Amino acid sequence: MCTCAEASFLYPCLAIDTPIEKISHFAYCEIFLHTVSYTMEGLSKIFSALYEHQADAIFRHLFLRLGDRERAKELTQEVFMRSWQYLAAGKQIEHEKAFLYKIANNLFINEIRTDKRTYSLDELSEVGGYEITDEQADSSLTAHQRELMTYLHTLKESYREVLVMRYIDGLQVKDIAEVLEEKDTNITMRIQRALEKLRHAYELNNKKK
Amino acid sequence: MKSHTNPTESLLKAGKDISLTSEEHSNMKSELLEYAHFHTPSPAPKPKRVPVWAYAGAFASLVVLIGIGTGFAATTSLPGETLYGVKVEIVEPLVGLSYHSETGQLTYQVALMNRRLDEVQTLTRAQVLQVEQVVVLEELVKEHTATIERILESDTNDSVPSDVSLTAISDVIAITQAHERIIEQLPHKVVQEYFEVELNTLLDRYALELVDFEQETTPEEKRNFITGLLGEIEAELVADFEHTSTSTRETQQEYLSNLEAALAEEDYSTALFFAGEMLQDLDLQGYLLEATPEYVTPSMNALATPESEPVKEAGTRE
Repeated sequence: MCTCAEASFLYPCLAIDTPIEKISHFAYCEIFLHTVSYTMEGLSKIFSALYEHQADAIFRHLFLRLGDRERAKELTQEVFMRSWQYLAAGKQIEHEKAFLYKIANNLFINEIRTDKRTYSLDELSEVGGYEITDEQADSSLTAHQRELMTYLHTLKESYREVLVMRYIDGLQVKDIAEVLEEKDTNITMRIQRALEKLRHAYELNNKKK
Repeated sequence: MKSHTNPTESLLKAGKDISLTSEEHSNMKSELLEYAHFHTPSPAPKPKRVPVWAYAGAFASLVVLIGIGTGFAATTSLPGETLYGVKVEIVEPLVGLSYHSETGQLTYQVALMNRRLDEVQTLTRAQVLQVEQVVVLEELVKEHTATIERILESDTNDSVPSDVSLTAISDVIAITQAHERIIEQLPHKVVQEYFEVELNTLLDRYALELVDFEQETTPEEKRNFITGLLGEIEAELVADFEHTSTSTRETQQEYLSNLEAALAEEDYSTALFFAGEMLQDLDLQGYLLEATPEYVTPSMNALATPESEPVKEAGTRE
């Protein structure tokens, strides 16, 4: 193992013969690229590591924003396909997490533009809330997760996305700003407002009960 | 405040546990790996290093280009120009290699003779023809003629059709005669200047040899050598008597008398000096008679033997 000082963040660099199961974290640096990625085997190894460490996070992100498990799975797969195309083209990924979320965000935007049902979520939330129908209900979700989905979808998409990224995906404000290509201060403000909205929706629901 | 945030935070924390099922995870992975397998990566970008062979290739190409350019420029050059040597020593022999058959070679040599004729005509029309150029052209014409004769006389000349041979022979004769006619029109002044240069070169060469001789031999050796030389000089004087003008004979006799007197007085330096003068005189005469081409014979003869009958004597030499 070695440490690449030139990378934007320090990850352990892996030797070319490092077994996939021993990759504790997706490693990416100049040395790793030059020794591993120029072979098919090396690229596959990078891709596998990328999938192992980020697949659930991307799926979670898309599922919470879309509210549709199957569609979220399809888009997750699409995110990794595009990542493969990027790697296979010989390009380098400097920040894999931001890279993947950016693809996911773009795919999501395309999805809500083309999918009338998903697009109507914002409208629904604006007129008084969204509830998961039986058809959309996911048996794999816990009661809390279902409740979260319900409250999240009472919010505007712009609030939902920052909440998911900040509190569920665990991205830093600057990373969110990079993905959404906005200023840090805007993101901070939006997160605060989104939290307020979520809290308000929660309290409103409890009062009804 | 804390009581307000806790429910939402715990709600959001619940979302962190959402994940793909293990089956979904493995299915998706296998599908992605299959996708990756069938979408082979394009060749990875390698550092842009120019290999050594590329430099060598570029250099070779440059040399070839320069060579072709020089060769092309040389084809239009004339005797006396810098590139003429490239033309006759490199370009023409190289082109000649492309003619494999004897017929082809024969035709090519005749074409080269024609080219020499064109060159001499061009120089004559421009009134810039010099004796040096004439000598060069004459040598080249001789070479072409010799090559043609060799082809015609070779054992394998059966491959050359008779009509081609006859055409080549008639062409060679015509071209040679045309050359001679053109060169005969050279102004005598030009020829005289050329041979004056040759004369000075010759004198310098003999002078140096005499200095070496004087320094490297003992008096006895000098005496023996000069005595032997005297005999040869006298024999040559007798042999060349018919071709020597009266004034030249008088000069030579004077040299000879001085030589004999110096030898009697054992003044070997003076004897060597007069022997050298005699040798120069005799050798120059022989050199001019032997080395000068026929076409400059009239003027040469005038230079070498001013008082003799130049044209007829020169024409009879072998």
